[in-house]
Amino acid sequence: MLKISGSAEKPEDMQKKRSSFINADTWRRFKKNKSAVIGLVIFLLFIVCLIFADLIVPYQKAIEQNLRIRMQGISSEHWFGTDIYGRDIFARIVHATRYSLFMGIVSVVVGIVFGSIIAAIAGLYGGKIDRCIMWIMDTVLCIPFMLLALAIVAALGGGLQNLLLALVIASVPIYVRVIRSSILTVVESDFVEAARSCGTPDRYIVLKHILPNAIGTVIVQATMSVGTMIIWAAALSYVGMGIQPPKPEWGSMLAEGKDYMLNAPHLVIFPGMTIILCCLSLNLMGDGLRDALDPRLKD
Amino acid sequence: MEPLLKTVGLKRYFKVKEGDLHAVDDINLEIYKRRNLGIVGESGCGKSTLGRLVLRLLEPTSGQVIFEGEDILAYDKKRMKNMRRKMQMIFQDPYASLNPRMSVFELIAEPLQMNHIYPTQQQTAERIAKLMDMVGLARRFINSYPHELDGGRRQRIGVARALALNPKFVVCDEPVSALDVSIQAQILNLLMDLQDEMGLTYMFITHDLSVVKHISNEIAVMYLGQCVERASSRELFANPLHPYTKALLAAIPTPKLDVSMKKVLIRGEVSNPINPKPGCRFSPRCDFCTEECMKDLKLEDQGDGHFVACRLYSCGSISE
Amino acid sequence: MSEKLLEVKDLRVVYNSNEAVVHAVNDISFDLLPSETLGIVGETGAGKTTAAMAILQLLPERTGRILNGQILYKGEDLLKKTTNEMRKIRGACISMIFQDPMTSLNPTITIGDQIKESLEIHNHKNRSKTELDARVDELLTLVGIQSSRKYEYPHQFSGGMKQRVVIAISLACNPELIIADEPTTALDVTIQAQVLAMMTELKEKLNTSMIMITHDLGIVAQTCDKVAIMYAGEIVEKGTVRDIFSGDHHHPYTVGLFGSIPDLEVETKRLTPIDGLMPDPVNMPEGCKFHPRCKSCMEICRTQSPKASRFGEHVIVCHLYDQEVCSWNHY
Repeated sequence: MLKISGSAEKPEDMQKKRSSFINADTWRRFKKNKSAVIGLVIFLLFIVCLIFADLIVPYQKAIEQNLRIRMQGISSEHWFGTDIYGRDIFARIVHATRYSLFMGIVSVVVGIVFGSIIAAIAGLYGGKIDRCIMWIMDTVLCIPFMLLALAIVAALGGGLQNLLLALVIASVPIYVRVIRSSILTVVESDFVEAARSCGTPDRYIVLKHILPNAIGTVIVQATMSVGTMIIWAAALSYVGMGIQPPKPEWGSMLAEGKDYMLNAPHLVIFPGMTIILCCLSLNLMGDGLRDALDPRLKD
Repeated sequence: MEPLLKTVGLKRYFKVKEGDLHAVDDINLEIYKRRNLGIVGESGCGKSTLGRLVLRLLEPTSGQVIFEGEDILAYDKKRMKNMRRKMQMIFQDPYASLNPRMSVFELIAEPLQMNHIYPTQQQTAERIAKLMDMVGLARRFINSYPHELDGGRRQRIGVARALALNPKFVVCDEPVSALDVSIQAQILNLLMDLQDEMGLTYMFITHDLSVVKHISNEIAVMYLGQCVERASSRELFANPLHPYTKALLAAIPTPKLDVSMKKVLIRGEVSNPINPKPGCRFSPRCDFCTEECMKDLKLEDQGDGHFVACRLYSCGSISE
Repeated sequence: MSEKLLEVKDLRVVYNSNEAVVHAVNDISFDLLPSETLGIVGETGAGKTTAAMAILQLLPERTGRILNGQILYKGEDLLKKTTNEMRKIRGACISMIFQDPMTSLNPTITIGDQIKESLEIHNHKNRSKTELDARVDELLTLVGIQSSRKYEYPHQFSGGMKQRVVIAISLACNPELIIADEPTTALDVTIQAQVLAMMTELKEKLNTSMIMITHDLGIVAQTCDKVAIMYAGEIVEKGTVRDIFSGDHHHPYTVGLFGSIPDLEVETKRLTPIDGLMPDPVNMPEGCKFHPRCKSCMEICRTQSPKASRFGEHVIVCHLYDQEVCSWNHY
């Protein structure tokens, strides 16, 4: 607590500086948005699955094959039924959360970190550097996402790490575009000029003024991107380029079940619904976060 | 007596597709200590650009800016940073000029911290509190954010921030334009009181002639990047010479009745500042324009420090 | 002819936000005769724009509520009209000019089409396309723009020209009343002079009434016949322009407003602004809403809202004038 001598105000009035980014105000505004809160709750359920997967249902159950009970419907023993190899679908879905959500979150975080660095260099230095970087980014963007990711995975082989790499490489240009345009807008602001006029060095201007104000839009997009990345990971696994069996993954579960959709729809309904639910919760949260983070939106 | 700030042939051109945009063209000013200079003009005249050039927030295309006898354009980064402590700016938009994510404390602390003025956090905090008192901002707002305060209070934050480093010279870029009339008056009084207290000198940029008259000792009128007239405040209002100055004064709606609707002396719109033709830039809109006006004009002394760039008054003769 | 064109009686408007109720306009009344210009003066937050939007019922749907009052246009209460009926009135009988010409024009539609839009919507006489085009040309010439420019887009015009286009749109259907919300605030002073001169000329030519909302007393002196001064959602003083500018008796707020303006002719060392700020509309003071800032505040002002005192057309809502019973009548 800062003590100001000779002040007419009581020391209690001098509150500690609030963290300028996410603070109690943001949370309060977020809480008011009911759909955002629902999204958060659902997402937290997924996080619980991610962390406590082994406690909820043993991994064995997810990979143990038992051809005698294959393709059975919902029962008290197998809540979501069994798949074509007799494995418990519920167990597979819970354990698949680890891979899918992990991939989604990590690919977005890594993508944004690299994207911010590249965008900052491009936006702040301008000129030839900016043009060169954006040219590279635009070229990469021209290649359809799926094609690019497939190409990378095909070249490097399947597996979690290479899948992550493919997702990051393919999505960085998008982040660079968005963050760079935010940066360009903020760089022109009067308050950046004001900071310069009192002698603030460039690195402080970037850290304290430009990035916090430019990154707001990206944070929101990030939550939505997690959902997109999960779908892309699922898509890549669907075509057999992603997570290798017997590891469970929502997309590969869809792939396995697609030939039996008419007879045993539960094979695709449950993984499909899980993907939808996960992405929906992230989107709702993202919307809520955008509204809550803007300090200028009136309550 | 040496002027506090002097500009010599100051120019700033922007390269655009069609050519060169002459934002500020050949400005020669002298500002003496404690004698405020008002820069008046409408949008596009280059006054804001001039304000930034003088503080070196923008690099000039050519010319010199001499502060306390030394050309600041020749300074390297380090010396310029030190120089910044002596010359500050108050910005126009009290919202856009404050980082929405920083509290009042952080905003006023920034210049103090960036220049390592006080060794301890405690001393910085005390200075901030004193500054807030000085500008009339209640201490309870110390942790508030800009969007929680109204325009007048936000502008006071801007003033506090500009004065934090105890500058000698402050450029005020339309500091009251975005404020209500009664708040404008409060801020103007504040600026004048602070000038007396701290021995400041202002360059006051505005489009509002009534405001500039109040706070300036001398006024320079700008049009399309050039200075067309310069005189002491009293003289300019009593005896405007340049047709544009006359039109500007005539255009102000006076809050008095029985003042006959002044003839609108100005027609048309501002001409293009890109690759302007030589000669007086006001000529397309001027009723007194002749062949002579196509030649380049310079500010000429009409006596008593009243300068005007108009062929009507060239060579000391007044011809109409 | 003294048939009132517009009569607003006891209008009360609030904004219901999640946290609190904002009392934007509190029981205001004023009227307007044909071909008359009323100036509504006040600072930010006084409620002038809200009052104007309430007349045309353009308040934000979710939050704006008209709690009380009547808005009589040629004798008919606009608040009782259906949405369709209001739509017919907007643009054709009452039109509005907004403050910022940069944002009130659609950047993707040519200005000619934007003017025509208003004509097409209110095309009761079923005029043909050629007739409508001719009218667009007529309007552009009226506001001083070459009619050949009707195929251009807003970004190709300067601020002053854009505002002329906005004025042309508002005049398209020959409305009887124009509400102009700070139409020249965003313009340079010389352009403002041009636009105001044009508006005055058009007003006289077409016999339109106007409500001019502004904070600039100079504009009011030049263009208005009657004035109403608003503070914290109430009209604190109203009267003819002569009453306000040359009269001897004024509301303290009016005195404060005049004192805040730097005079071009008289040299003054310090301005005399009004101390303090306009009250928070969520948390209005008791009694007279101006009392915390009033130099002439008396005990009664802190507890009781003042009544309106009137002398002819001049009305002042202030306790200072309660005593002068002889020359002023209670109302």
